[in-house]
Amino acid sequence: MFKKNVSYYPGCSCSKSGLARYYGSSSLAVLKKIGVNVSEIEDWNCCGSNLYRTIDENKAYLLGARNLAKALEMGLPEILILCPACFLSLKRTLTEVFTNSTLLIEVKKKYSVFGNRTSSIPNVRHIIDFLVNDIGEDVFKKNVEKKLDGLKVAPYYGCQITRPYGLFDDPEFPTSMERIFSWIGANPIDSPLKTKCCGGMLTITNEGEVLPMIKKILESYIRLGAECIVTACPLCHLNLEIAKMKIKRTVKEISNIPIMYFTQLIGLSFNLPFNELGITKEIVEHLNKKIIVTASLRGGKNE
Amino acid sequence: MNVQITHLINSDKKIHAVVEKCIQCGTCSASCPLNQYMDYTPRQLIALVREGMIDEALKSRTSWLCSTCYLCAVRCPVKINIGDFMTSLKRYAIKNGYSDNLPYSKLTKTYVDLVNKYGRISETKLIITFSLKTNPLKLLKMLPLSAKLLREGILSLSLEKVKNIQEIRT
Amino acid sequence: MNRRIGVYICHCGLNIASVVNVEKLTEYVKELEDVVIARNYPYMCSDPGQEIIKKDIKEYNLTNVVVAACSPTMHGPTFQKACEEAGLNPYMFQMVNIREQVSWVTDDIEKATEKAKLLVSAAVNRVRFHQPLEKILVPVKQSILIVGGGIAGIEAALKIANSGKKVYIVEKEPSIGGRMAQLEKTFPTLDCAACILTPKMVEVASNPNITLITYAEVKEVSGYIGNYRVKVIKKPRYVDESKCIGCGLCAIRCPSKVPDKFNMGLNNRRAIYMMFPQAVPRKYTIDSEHCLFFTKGVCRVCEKFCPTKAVNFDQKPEEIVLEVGGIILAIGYDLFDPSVIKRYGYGRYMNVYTGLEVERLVSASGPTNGKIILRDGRTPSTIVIIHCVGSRDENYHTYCSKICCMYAMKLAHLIKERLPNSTVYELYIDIRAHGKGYEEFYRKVQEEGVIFIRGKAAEVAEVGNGRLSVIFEDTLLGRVQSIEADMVILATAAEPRKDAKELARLFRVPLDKDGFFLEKHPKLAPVSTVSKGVFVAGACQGPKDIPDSVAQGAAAASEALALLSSGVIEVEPIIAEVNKNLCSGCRICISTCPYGAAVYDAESKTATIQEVLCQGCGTCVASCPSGARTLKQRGFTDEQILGELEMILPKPKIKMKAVA
Repeated sequence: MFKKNVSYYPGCSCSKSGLARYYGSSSLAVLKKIGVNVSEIEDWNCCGSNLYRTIDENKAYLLGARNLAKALEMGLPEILILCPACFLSLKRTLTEVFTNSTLLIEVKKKYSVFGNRTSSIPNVRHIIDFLVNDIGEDVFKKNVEKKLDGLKVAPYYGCQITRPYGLFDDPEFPTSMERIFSWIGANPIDSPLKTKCCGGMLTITNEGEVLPMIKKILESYIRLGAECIVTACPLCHLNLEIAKMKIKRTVKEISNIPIMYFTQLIGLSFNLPFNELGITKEIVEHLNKKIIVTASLRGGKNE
Repeated sequence: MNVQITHLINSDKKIHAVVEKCIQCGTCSASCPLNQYMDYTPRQLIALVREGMIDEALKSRTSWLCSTCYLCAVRCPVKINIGDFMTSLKRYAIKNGYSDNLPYSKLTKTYVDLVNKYGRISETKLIITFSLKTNPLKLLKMLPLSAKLLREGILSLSLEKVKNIQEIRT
Repeated sequence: MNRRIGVYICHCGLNIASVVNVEKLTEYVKELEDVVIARNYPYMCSDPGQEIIKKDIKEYNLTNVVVAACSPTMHGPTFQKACEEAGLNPYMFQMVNIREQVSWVTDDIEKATEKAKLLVSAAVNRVRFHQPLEKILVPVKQSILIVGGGIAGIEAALKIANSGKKVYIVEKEPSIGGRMAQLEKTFPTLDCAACILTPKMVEVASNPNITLITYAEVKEVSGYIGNYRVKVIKKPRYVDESKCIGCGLCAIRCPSKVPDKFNMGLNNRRAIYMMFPQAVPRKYTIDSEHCLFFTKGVCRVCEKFCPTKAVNFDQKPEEIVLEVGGIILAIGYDLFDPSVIKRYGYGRYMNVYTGLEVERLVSASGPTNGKIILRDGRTPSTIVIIHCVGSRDENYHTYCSKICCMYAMKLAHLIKERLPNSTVYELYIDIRAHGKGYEEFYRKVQEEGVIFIRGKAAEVAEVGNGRLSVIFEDTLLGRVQSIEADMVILATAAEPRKDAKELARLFRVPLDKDGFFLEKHPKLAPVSTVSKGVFVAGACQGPKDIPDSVAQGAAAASEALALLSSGVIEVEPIIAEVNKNLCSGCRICISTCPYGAAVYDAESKTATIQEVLCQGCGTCVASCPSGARTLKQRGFTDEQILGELEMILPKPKIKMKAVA
C-alpha cells in the first residue's frame, strides 16, 4: 500500500473552527484513505497572509516562518496546504527568507532549526499538486469505489493556487483538477473564467464592485451546463455561495447547482462517510440523480 | 506633496525595481478584473510613482481595489509583481494616514489585531468585529447566508488560541 | 640560455591606469629576475607603442617580451607580429590581461596593483621557459560549404560561385528558398517576394560552380580551417532527381492528403509533392510518413503514372563527404509558437492566426489564391494585429525580434488592399521602424487607415459565432478597451531554429544567450565565429529582415573568399608533441584524442601526433601514463605552467617564516 509522511498546515479557514472546516476534514479523510500519513503542524499560527502583509511585511514573514520552523522541528519538511492564500503566504515566506539575507538572519535567530545544517529546506505543496504529481493516477484510482460517471463538474480554481507561486500548472489555464475528475469518472467543464478572480476579501469591503464579477463566473458555468461547481479555496467557496444567494431569485438554475470542495467530491467517489466530508443529504440526493453510478455505490456504507 | 513619503518610497527597493522595469504596455490594466472601477489604471499608478507623484498615487483608490489575484503578475512581460506593488502602496497609505476611513484599511487592522491577540483568526469573528466597527447594518444583510452556514454547522464563534502566543507577539 | 626579458605595461588610456598604479608596477617589475627593461605607455597597441617594443628587442637584444594590457584575444596577435617584425620568435612572447581581469573588476587601487604585480611576475617567470616555435602552413581547400538555402545562403553562394570558386549548398527541405519563399510581398518597397527571389534560385540551380544538395542534413564535421571534412546525409526523395521532370502527374493521382507545412497547414497537399510551384530543384518528393505505400504497403499509384519512371521506392539515404576550406552557416530562423501564451487563444480559437499563416493566406500561390478567408469561411471585416507575441517578454524571449513591427504593418497594408472596407487595428508597445524607408512605410500604412493603438493585448476571448474580443489598455488614453474582431493576427517572434543547438555542437560555434549563433564580435566581426573558417549569415545570428540577411550573406561570402584566396593558412604550433624515445606505445592518447590527431606508428611502435589535425586541447598530455616528458604540449609545458603558478600561489607559510 502507498505510504508517505507529510506535515499539514490547516490554516485558519480549514481548521476545526474555520468556515472551510469540511474542506479540511474531507481532505484529511481522502489522504488517509490513500495512505498518506498526515501530521498537523503543532501549535501552528496565522500564515502571515496578504492582509497581514499590508500592515507589516516583515512580521508577516516571521509569522510564516514560525509555521515552517514547526514543520522542520517535526522532521516533516514537506508541508501540505489546502488554502491557496496560506499556500501563497508560506511559499512567499520561503522565497523571501532565502533571498533576503537580513530576514534570514532574523529568522535563524528566532527559529534555530532554520539554517541548521541537518534540517532540510521546507517544501510547501498545495494538495492539488500533491495528489496529481505525487500520488498519481494509479495509486489514486485504487481508492475509487464509485465512479461519478457523467457528472458535469465545473472546476473553479480561483487565483492563488497557480499564481504566482503555483508552478505545478499553467497560471491561467490549469488542468490538474480536471485530471483528478477524469480519474473518478466525472466530466470536467472547461470555462475560460476558471482562474479569474472571485473578489477575495473585497466581497466584505467592496461588494458592489466585486459581485458582478463573481456572478459572471457563476453564469458562465451555468451556461456550460455545470451540475456541480467545485473549488479548492475557502474564499472562492464563500464568495460563490454569497453570489449564489444574490442571484438565486433571478437565475433559477443556480439553486440546483451545489458548490463543493473538490476533496468532498473525491470523498464521495472514495465512498467516505458523509459526516467527515461535510456533505448534506440534499447535496447527495441531488448528485445521485445526476450520476450514473458505477461499481459498488448501492450497498455502500452510507446507505 | 509630502516629502518624507516620497523619500520613503524612493528608498523602497521593491517599489524601485517595479518602477524601473515597467515598460508601460498596459497588460496589467487590461488583465485586472476590477479595472473599470479604478481612477487610475495599474499602469498609470506605476507611472505616477515613477514621476514622483506619490501623494496622488496614495490617494488613488486603485490599490484598494486590488484583490491580489496576480493575473497581472503572471502576464507582465517584464515580470513585475504588480499585485505586490499594490500591497506596498496600501501599506504606505495606511502608515501615513491616507486611508483611515477606508473599509479595507479597517479590515486589515482588525485582522492584524486578531492575529496578534490569538495567533489565528476566525472568519466569523473577523467579519463581525469588522462590521461592528464600520456598518453594523451589514450584519443584517448577511443573515440569510449566516442562517445557511449555521444550518450546515459551519458557523462558529470559537477560536483556538496559539499556545505559545509569546512567539507571535514578539 | 641567458634570458633577457622586456616588460611593457599599457595604460589603455585610463582603462587600466586609473585603477592600477602603472608606475609602481613598472618599478616592481624592473627588479624581477632576468628583466632587463620595463616600461609603461598610454597605448601599447598603437604604432608608436609597438615601435618601442621593436626598438627594445634590437637595442637590448631581448630574448622574451611580456605585455601587460588587455585581453590576448584582442591584441595578442598584434604584439606577436611586432615581435616577429623585430626578429624575435612570436612564441617568446606572453601577454597578461590586467584590464578585464584587474582594472575593470575593482576600484581598489591598492589591491588592483598587487594583483597586477602577481600576474606580471607570473608571466615573467613563465616566459623564461618559452622555446621558439615555428608556425605550420597548410594549403586551403578551394571550396565552401553553405548550410541553408534561404536568401542569405543563396546570396553567399552566388557571390562565391561567380568569383570562380566551388560552392556546396546543403538544404534540409526539398527546395531552396527558405522563409522568403513563403512571403507574399516584402516591406517597405512591396516588391513581390517570389518575383525577386525566383531568379536567384534559378541562378543557383544553373551555376556550374554550385552543387545543390537538397533534402539533406549535415551529420558530422571534422578537420579545421582550410581543411574541413563534412559528412552529409541526403534523405531519400524516392524520386530520381535525374529523371523527374516536375510534371506533377504523380501528385494529381496521389490519394493521400497531408496538411501542407509550406502553407502553415492551412490546406492539404499530397504525399508526393513539390514544396511550392517555383521550387528549386523542380523535383517531386515522397513524404514517407504519409505515403500509403510506406504506411500501409499499398498504392504505388504515382509510380504507375510517372511518364519518366522517376519514382523509386527503393531509394536509400545517401552519404556524401565534402572537403571544403570554409563553411557558412545560414540556417535561418523558426517562428515562436504562440499556443504557449494561452490567453491569446491560438490553437483554441480558430480565427486566431500567426503572421506567417496570414502571409500564406494573402499569397497568390497560397491555399486561398490570395483571398482572405477565415477558417470558418467568412471574410473578416475587423482585424486586430497583436505585436510583440513572444518577443520583448521575459517569460518567452527578452529580445526585440526586429522584423515583426514591419511585417505586421505590411500585412495590415495587404489586408487593406484586398479588403478596403475592413478595419485593421495594430496593438503595439513601440513601433520599431528602423531601416531605410521603414518610417515612411509606417506613415503610409497609417494614412491608409490602419488604426495604431499603443497597448499590449492582455487577452483574446471568444464572444460567439467565431467572433473574438481583444482586451487591452489604450495606454495613451489610459482606458481599458476591447475590440470585437473577426480575425486576430499574432505577430510572433523569430526564434532560433530547433536544430541550431545541434549544428552549434557539430560546427563548434557558440550560441548566444538567446540561442542564436554567436558572432566573433558584434561590431567588428559580425559574420565570423570563434570557430575559425566557420562564418554565419542571416537570421541564424539574430532576427533579421531581407536587406540585412542579404548584406550578411554577401559579407560572409567575402570572408570565405578571403580565406580561399589566401591559399595557405598558418596553424598555431601550440600542439602536442611525442618524445619517441620515452613513448611505450600504450596508445591511451590515441583513444582520448577527440580530433583523431594521435595515431599509432607501427614502425617505431610509438604514438605520433598529426600536426595539422591537433587542436592543442591537451587531453592526450593529461592522459599519458608516463608523464609530461613523454607527451608534452608545446606552449604549455610543465615548466611553463609551474613557473607561472609558482609566482601566483602564496608561498608556504613555514617557508615564509624561515625567510623572515
